[in-house]
Amino acid sequence: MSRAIRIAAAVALLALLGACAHPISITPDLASIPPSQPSVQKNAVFVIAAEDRDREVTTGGGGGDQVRYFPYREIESGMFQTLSSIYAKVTLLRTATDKLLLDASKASYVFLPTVATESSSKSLVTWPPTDFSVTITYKVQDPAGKVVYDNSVQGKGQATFDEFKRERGLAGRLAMQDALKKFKAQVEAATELK
Amino acid sequence: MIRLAIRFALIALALIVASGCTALAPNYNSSVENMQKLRDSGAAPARVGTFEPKLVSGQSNDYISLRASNMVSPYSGKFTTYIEEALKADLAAARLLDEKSNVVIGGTVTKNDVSVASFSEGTGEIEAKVTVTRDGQVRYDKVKSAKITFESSFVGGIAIPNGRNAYPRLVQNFVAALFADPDFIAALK
Repeated sequence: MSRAIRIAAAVALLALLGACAHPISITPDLASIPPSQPSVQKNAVFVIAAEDRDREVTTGGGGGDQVRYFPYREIESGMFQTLSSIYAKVTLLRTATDKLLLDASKASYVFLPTVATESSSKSLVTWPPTDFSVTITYKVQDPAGKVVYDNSVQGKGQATFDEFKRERGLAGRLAMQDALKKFKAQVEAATELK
Repeated sequence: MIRLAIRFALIALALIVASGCTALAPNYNSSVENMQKLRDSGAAPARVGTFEPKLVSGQSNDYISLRASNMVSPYSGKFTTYIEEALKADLAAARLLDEKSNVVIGGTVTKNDVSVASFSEGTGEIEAKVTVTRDGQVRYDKVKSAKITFESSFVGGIAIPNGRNAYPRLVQNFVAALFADPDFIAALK
């Protein structure tokens, strides 16, 4: 009888854990994106729709578990800071189709980013990801809606057990920071976005 | 049976690693809406001074207990520093942080807690007396507070990370309450 109870308890625990998608934070450290005087004296807008902001995604972790997080919500302050270090005034909009808001922003460029993430772990017994990637794919339109530039960058982050034991989303945070750093360099180098 | 025991031990180990011990609170995640509001408010540049801890009994500036786990601040190990860094981050993003400014934001934190004691709903609260001084003269002196509720769980592996992830949003709410106060903005002008 006691053996049956033990087996049942183990099965219940396995079922509980098998269903686990652990919430993590991958917010970039804004100190890794130091504010600087803008190099382009034009305004820019970037658009992250409310439904994207509130979209939670689930990707792989270790030991058969998964992790869940909000990639758009976590990247938007870093993207604001990154673009603010390039353009005179940056505004976040929740839609690209509101002409009144676009006109009010006096933006020369409208950035339309999408964010894709992947994660995995080499570990069989711990769930936080050891490898993470963040891909920012973006189109840039002029105020008339014509696409003037499009490109993408991929940031990567790795974390070992000793590193992530105090910060479960470390690999993700590092991947976010790497992606934003590459995004900044790419936008600064694009002659179409001067 | 032995294989089952080994599997059980591995799961128990993973549980301990996943939800026990001490873990950092996530970094502060600025609200772009907060930063834009501050930037467009007409406020003059300021610097962030010190927030002193004067916490109610049972709360610590060094850690927040989340069941079997302690959450610590990623900023010098102090939650008052977390609040200082949050204000610095938002002021910097709005290009209103000036370390040489004679306008100084500071205060005393009286409540700072997150709880996942309930299996259904987690809660968090920050309360602080915030001051703004210009050349040493007090221009603003008010108690501001923020609360948050979030989903909790019977399972520590879910409730504890939810509690950790709620902290930056709690600080964001506190900063939003401050920036939404016309008297605070007026004190910065």
